[in-house]
Amino acid sequence: MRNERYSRHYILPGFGELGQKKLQAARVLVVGAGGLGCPVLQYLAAAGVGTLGIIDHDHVGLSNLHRQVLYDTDDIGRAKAEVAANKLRQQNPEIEIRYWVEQLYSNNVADLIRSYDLIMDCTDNFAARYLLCDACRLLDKPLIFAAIYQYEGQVAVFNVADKEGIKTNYRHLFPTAPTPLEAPDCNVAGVLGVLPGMIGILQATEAIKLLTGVGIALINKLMTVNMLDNSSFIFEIPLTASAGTVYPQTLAELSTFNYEQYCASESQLIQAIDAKEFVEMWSAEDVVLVDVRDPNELPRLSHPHLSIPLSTLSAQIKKIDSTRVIFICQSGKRSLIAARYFYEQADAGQQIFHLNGGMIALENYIND
Amino acid sequence: MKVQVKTFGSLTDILAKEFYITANDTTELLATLTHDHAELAQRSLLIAVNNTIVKTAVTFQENDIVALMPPYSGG
Repeated sequence: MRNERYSRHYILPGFGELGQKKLQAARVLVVGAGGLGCPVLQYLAAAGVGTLGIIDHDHVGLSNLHRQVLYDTDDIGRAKAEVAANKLRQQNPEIEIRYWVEQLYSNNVADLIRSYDLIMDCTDNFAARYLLCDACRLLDKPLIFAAIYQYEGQVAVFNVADKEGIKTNYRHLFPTAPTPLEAPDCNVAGVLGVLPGMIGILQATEAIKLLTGVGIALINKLMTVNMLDNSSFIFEIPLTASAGTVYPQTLAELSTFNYEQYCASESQLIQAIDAKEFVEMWSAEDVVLVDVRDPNELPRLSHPHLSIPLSTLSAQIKKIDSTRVIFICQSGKRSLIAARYFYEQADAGQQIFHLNGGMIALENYIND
Repeated sequence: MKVQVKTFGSLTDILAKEFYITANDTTELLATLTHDHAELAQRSLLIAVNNTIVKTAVTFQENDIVALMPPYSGG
């Protein structure tokens, strides 16, 4: 039966009733109902995607309104997922819309995404992005990724086989989580209001293309768009092993993996201190100094310390039980590696530091 | 080899948006840039040569176009 609502799709060459039927049969989950999620939801609802799921734990704030165009000023304080669901039901009462005012966690992600055909990554933080990436890879769910920064956006289609049967995912771009400092979100870095609209519509377009088989989707390709000069590029993503990275290989491992910790701001967790701060701290009772150089490296640290060469750190890690731990090496490189490693094993209450510039910086400071 | 480098996102705070530089391969390019801009050492970045993302050292040809891209988290 023809539905007047979709009549312009029916007459669209290459799309037609068959394309519309495929949209009607599709189940799409949109994770994040913010800047990207709003246009994605609006256009997928309008296009007649049969079942739309919305997950967002956030509430509408005034500073959202310059770009999150599903929401009105009257919606401030209300749960985004619920408001979005209500507006979309008015926009298209003929589709099914479900929503969860919930955060995505390791222990609920599999249940939330399992019954959907296609997942839209409209999240705004690395913890959620890596969680979704791993869950979709393990459940073999197509994932359409988009992310924005100030005036620029990235879009890609993951976990969909190309002609050679190759599937890639976000870990083929960035195998390990960057620190939030490297890629601040819109709340910190600012964002041009129209940017998520533009990138979200590209993301929704990829969804419609994948679901209907129209055109050529960004499978194993990363598209970048810059609003300032209208430049855009499409990069090929090769299938390369991400050697040396650790991430869940089964759903059971995923369900207990701590993504918040995995993606936490390194600067909050590992503080780089200079020689002056080091000398001020080194006598405190709750501080232990850990020299991760080999015992033959000179000069030796005159202050009481633990000598645990980096290569033996994993075996001796239990010896480090003070509240504040400062790692030291010759130049500050190994101490940072040690601090990162220790962080992954540390107890919740432990504060981790490393001496920037190492013994060389300390010697210079003491000699001045 | 002289190559053209294009930078994206927050990398434009550290490097020019577009510039030419001489390097034999991606490893030498990154070493040179990190030597001149120490803050690059800590950054995650994606390297593409002529629109293909590369994960291992790639030898340049004259006039290759090299893209340096950081991850974006915003949504």
